[in-house]
Amino acid sequence: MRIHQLPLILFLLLLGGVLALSSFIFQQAPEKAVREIVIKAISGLQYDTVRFQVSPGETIKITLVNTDEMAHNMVITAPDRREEIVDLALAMGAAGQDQHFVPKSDWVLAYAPVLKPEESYSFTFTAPQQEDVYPYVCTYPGHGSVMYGAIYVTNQKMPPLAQDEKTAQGRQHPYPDTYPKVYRTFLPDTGPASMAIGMTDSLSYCWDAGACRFRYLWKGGFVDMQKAWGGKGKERAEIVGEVFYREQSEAPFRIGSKDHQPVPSFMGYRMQDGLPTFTYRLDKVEVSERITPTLEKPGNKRLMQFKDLKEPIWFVRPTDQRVDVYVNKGKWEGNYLRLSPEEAKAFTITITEKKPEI
Amino acid sequence: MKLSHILLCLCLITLLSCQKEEERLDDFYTVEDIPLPEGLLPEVGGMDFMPDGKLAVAFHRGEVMLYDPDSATWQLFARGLHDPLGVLAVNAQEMLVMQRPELTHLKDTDGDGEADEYMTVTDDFGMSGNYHEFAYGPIPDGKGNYILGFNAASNNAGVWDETRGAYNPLGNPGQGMYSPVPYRGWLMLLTKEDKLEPFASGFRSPDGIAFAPNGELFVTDNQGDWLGTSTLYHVEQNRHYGHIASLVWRKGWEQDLNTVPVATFDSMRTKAAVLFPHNIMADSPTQPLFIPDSIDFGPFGGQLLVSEMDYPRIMRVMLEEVQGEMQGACISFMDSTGLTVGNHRMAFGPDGSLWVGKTAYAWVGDQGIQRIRYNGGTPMDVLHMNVTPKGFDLTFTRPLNVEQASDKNNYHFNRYYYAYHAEYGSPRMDEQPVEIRHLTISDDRTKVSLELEEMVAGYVYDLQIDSLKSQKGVALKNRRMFYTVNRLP
Repeated sequence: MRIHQLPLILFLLLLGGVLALSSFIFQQAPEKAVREIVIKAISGLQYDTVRFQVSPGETIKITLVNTDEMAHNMVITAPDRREEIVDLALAMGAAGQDQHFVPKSDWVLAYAPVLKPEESYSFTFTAPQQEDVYPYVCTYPGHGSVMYGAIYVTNQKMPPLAQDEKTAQGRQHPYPDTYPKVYRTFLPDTGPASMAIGMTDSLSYCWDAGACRFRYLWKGGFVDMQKAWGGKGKERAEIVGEVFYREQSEAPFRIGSKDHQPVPSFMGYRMQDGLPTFTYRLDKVEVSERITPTLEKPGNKRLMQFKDLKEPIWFVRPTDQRVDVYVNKGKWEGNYLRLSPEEAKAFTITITEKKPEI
Repeated sequence: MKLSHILLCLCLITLLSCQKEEERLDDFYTVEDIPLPEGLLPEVGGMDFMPDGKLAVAFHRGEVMLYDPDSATWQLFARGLHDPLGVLAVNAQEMLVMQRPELTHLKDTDGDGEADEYMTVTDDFGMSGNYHEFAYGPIPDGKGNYILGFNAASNNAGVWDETRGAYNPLGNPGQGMYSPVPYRGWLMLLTKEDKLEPFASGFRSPDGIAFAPNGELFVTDNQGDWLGTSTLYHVEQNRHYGHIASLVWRKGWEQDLNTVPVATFDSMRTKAAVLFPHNIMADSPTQPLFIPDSIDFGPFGGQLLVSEMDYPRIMRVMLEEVQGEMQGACISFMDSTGLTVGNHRMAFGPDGSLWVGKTAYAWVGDQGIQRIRYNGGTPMDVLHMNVTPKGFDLTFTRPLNVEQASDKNNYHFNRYYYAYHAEYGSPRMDEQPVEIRHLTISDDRTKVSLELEEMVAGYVYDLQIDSLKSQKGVALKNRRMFYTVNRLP
């Protein structure tokens, strides 16, 4: 132990010196540089920062960067005044453009003006002394109901994000959860190896990777994963919206003869522009299927490609009366569409919702 | 806290560690939390280091993210997967991920950092829609093949009207976990040609699968029906490991499981190499991982670690081969050192630190990722526990305080076994203390040989040491261990 004594004495001397020096530095230290918070407006009507924290009275620099393709602003409001400010901004109408859709109100504490894509803007914000949650929101017409976040003016800990009702709802991932998107999960009315594909925020479909076939199409939303993710995986995801087409046939494509139901085998999918192109085998024939949303009416368009066919294929006519079905190649023989190997190399099936009868 | 206070604390910590280095046992290993991005539900299903040093992690909500330990930043690699429970790096742009419905090859072909190919390697196994049909792997055997593991279905839920794979009503014997579709309760071998073949049967929940450096395969399983307590199996091809439901997918099997006597099932099974006593050592063991000889992680190189979900613990397993069969002892490795519960997946980083991913899945557990660093030095612990014809040899990491070590009253053995039956779990059966007849200490003071009044195969020997210090006064870190005696030498 003797050997340790010399370093110990040196250490204590050093300790004393460091303490004296540090208290000197601490007293003489200039004001800390102002903290900067960078918030990006991103696609899908979202800010990339859903919330942040400042101390009461703290002055910060906020920089809003618009990385989206639409115009956005950002208004910091008094606690619980977000919705009123959004309504006031909307009431400004077209004239609001000149005032960046920022209404004159005591409840507006600070703001960034409307920014075009790729513009940015910085401003300083001094947090009130009053501890509370101060919303920030995009008041550009139509954005305010979903595009907002929360400034926690407090020295206390923020609540868990999952239970934080002050931030924009629906954030379930650490990345912007924009459409289109693919979720493999347990879904109703299909096989257990299925997936939900949200093509847009209001048009989605279910594809079954077990049976290798399209199952159903719905409009009005995507899926609610709350129960499916909340437990042990027992619950199926809930469809949000209204299913308006179900494909009934267990084998919509027949190979060689219209009675022959080929054995499916899933090969996987490739992502392109956020949407999957499925590949699978029916018997030994390799098939690719790319599904995109239709533009004018709710529905979808499937680009089908059958590789190296030596015999004709048949497509079974969908029986669901709620949709119109259009195939750009082949010849109908009763309820079966016959496609030659040449035609089957690439054809499209378009399924759209029928106009409601008057 | 003022800067001066922080400095004072730092100084004091340094000062204390200078003076009392040997007593500060937890300093040998430190645990830190890994920062996680906001919005992530950090329940870890799979974890592996990519060749470029990034950690690939699969999370409960279906994303795979890459963590760069140098910059402490996360990036998204893949999304939308169904309950991914295994990740294996292929190269910096590719990985294999085991998700519920299939083993998938993920590939970033355009170099934008995110996978654009999700190609199926195999989905040649059944899914009934029962939530408990988790899928694990892929674990490479080093020869180009992989092991995949498939849970049995839970009796807490049924099967869907529509299943993938043939439904077999014989696989649902009416009690306990069941196997309604192929190959529930099996380990499968994925060959180099991507063909999925039955490998071994008899598992309930084979969440933890690992190959030893010498090619031996080890799998953990969970207390439940046909499992008196949680286990570590040494798995060999074509053997059966005790949970009966999987047997219906054996070639040629046509019997109703309810008509077969328990004694017949008992004769068919290979017993666990190591039992983890329930409510004491482990209630939910997960990933086994061998400490590579190539890294410096303390004195336990080559030994097996097993993570545990219900206790803030990682276990250490001391294995040996006796009469041609693998058996050994388990002891804790990391207790009460800042490690939380929920320990699910483990991986050694390029710098030799151990990364531990947590999960809960609405059971007991936790979220997040922790990292365990070895700080050097030799913790005072039991290094080996070996069975002898009449007792056990304990080898310690440091020379012992002879006075304490030679006191027979300092060691307490209890022995018991667990019943093999259809019921859930088992009480400790025929539990009895075993007296120590004779004790010797090796000349180098690192080994204590204990001769017992009685040694019986088929029992767990539960050893508690009251108080034991090293020659230099460092207290023994872990004082309770459990040796599963399948065979006597």
